[in-house]
Amino acid sequence: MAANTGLEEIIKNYGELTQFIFHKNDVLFKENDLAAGLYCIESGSVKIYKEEHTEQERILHLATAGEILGLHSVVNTHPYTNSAAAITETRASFISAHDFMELINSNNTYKLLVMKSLCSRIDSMEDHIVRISEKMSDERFADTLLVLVEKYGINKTKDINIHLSIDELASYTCTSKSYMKKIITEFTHRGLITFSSGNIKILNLPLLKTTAMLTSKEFAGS
Amino acid sequence: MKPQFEHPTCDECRSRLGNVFCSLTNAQVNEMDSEKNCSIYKKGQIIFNEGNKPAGVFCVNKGKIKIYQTGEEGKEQILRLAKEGDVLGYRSLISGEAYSGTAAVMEDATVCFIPKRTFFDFLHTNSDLSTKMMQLLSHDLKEAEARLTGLAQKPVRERMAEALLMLLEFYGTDKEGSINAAISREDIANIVGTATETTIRILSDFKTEKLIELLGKKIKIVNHQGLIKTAHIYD
Repeated sequence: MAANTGLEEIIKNYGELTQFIFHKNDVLFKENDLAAGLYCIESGSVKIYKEEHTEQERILHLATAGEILGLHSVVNTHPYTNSAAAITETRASFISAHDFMELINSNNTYKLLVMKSLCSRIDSMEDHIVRISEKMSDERFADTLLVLVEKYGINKTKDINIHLSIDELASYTCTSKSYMKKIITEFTHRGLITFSSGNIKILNLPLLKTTAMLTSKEFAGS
Repeated sequence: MKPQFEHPTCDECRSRLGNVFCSLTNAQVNEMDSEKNCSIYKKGQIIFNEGNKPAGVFCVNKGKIKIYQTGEEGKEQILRLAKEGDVLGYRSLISGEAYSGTAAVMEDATVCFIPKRTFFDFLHTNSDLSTKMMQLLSHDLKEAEARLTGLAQKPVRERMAEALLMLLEFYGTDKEGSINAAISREDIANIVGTATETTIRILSDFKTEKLIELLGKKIKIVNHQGLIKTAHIYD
């Protein structure tokens, strides 16, 4: 969820912004790159992910319009702690780290907005932590679908307004690709969804909600 | 006669010097001293509850505290640990939302409470403090990301090794070389995100492999390198 803290407006009102258009799979920044500045998403969607030792990526967050990317790295002047890539065509404005710090140092209340923005990101990250440590993969996938519905909405034909690959779904749900396929098949059999080449159709939202609520007796680990 | 509890003074508080409040001016330190309230908490006592609205921030003078979320089945997931010098509850206060977790005492603690008004007053007038708060939150976000990645990618055995190393780094060692915290098996399970039975089993495996020694509730790391290897920490 994009928390509107007012920081985006302040950045947008600052004169010297560079506008970018990113196509699907374009990389905005890479983990460990020097944090050159911030991106404000105007439209589209961006996945925030970390590369893993196994060359797999772990999606931490799906960012949408109104969100600011790279904030904590710029504030603490360390390299980007994650990578960002567009998952749909995305328009974003860029402000350099230097300009941004000058801007927020000019007014103490701006810093409070930065803090609020960071708080909302930490909250969503911690929710995610609790989710993956508590739930079984199928419940987590039901959860993932509900998050996507809330974030991107469903169109008239009940399709979620975002296309994600099986790899991306597995990564965001924190499960393996093969298990992800298994769960999708199971969900299709149960009449919850249909999935074809990135398009997810939600057939039974109430049952999906019940599935996400079912808590496991066993731990969701190992 | 009733034993008197001596309130720690902010001026002399060594915990303060290690946290964000080190940037307060002398006048602000005096103001904080007169506005704050300090309490002693016993093991198991709750400092604040998930879902309640914050009225200020807590500054830990002494003791060890866990911050956890309770899941739908009542299982705790420990999100963070705190010790002397740490400030608690600032995130909910800044975002204006209810506490997203519960803070409970693991080892007897002395904790000071700084009212919302005083805290915000400092934030608005002291730009050094607001910069430090911004940096602290940025750091928290980085930690949360790392935590999420670790939890998602690593099998439970590796996470257990990682948790032990984290506890060692966080609490240090006592005279016997054990991790300086009497932390229950259940708490360890809730940090790792697994069941208590699994925790007991893995700790016993680690003991057999001579990675650790178990001395009652205390854990002594005997093969540091081996544990790092088990945790698969490359960076």
